[in-house]
Amino acid sequence: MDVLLRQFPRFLDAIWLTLWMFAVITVIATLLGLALALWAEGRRARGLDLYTWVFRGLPELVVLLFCYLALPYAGIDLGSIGSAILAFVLVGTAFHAEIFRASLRAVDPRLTEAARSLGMPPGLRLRRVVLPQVARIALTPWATFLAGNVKMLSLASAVSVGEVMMVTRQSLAISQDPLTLILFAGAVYAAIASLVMIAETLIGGWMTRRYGPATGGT
Amino acid sequence: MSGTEPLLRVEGLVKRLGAQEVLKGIDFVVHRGEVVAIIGASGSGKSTLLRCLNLLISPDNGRILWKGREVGWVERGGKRIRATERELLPYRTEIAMVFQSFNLFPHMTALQNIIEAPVMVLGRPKAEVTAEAEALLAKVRLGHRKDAYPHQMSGGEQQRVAIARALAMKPEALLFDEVTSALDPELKGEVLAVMRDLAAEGMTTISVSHEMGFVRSVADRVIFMHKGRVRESGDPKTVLANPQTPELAAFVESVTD
Repeated sequence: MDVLLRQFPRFLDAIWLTLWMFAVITVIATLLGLALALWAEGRRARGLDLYTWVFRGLPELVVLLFCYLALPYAGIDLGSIGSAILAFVLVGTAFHAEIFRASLRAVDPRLTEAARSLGMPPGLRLRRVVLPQVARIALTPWATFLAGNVKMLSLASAVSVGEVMMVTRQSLAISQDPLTLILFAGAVYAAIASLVMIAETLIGGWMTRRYGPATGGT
Repeated sequence: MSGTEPLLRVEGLVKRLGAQEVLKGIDFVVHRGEVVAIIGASGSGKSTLLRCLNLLISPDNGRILWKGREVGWVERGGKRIRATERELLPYRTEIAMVFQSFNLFPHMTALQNIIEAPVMVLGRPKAEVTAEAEALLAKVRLGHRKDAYPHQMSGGEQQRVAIARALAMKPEALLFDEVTSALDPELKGEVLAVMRDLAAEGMTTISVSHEMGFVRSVADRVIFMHKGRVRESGDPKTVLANPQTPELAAFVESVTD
């Protein structure tokens, strides 16, 4: 316990680092995933298929080590945090792209037909009719991926990112009470993941009460 | 010419879906103010025909003339080519459509559904369109439901909002695609009443309908389709009472009022 208390300032820094890395990775990967999904719509997007196949299949740790250890040989040295962000963005984008592709396909085509019959041009249709449905359909799979992704960030300790798992492992080396430290680290990740899940439940519930079931009321 | 030219003229319309020819050469005209009903068994091509009329789907052959001008094709570099989706949009705003399954935007209230296209497509001032939308809601007897979301409304209410949404574009003709087919019997009446009002006001409407009572009493002309062809057409009272083809006789026999 005394180790945890003495190391607490470092843990606070680590929690902060974990949180902002998670936020940066989520924003970039979500926007890239959405952009790729929109680009791929109505196309034979073989390149995107290959990309999402590779990065959904590879273990995160492999991608992470590749970015940290192999890219410097190609003259790209992003450092610990940079490599970790790149690796998780590469993997996250693959998942988000598939989530948004599936959500776009799930939008009721009759809504698009109604929008066309009202003379709405493609961009307006997307913005005013299609994307609001996508937001509702994608919310649960998107949040589920994010809740899992929080835990994956602990892998970043393998490339010396000073996030929660890194500080925990360093503290374990000088502690007589590993259980407390391990439980504490676990609680931090679980708490962040829980925030994501709670937000998803609240937002999803609010949208269902306001707009009815996600797949349309007709 | 404009005095005699019909609002809509359809010539030799052909539509293929895969190997199957759904429309095998359809000809008819619709004059301003006419109420035209299209009837026929399921699979006869009625809904496909309606979607060809506002070019939601492109016909493979034939011509559609709207106020005397052919739609769906443009002249570019001396060549006649198919119009792009964007080039078709102005035409669609003049010939609005109401669907069997209402197709209201689920994330918008009744009022927002109605003002969406006039504001965002036609670029009209929001305050002015809102006032018109409220009047339209009152006209379809839903003045009290303007802030309701589609999932909070009955099918009959949703369909009346959908009619108001189409009318808000101030179209010159309305297409009704089996607009009462998805409704419970007690809700059909309220939608049919609105359609009667529109007919009485002189609105040009082309309806695919199974409501034979409505067709008999409201339509100026009925078009009977069978297997992608127009088999009979004319005044509904005459045509339905004296079928000239065995197909129409069988159809009249099979539908109940």
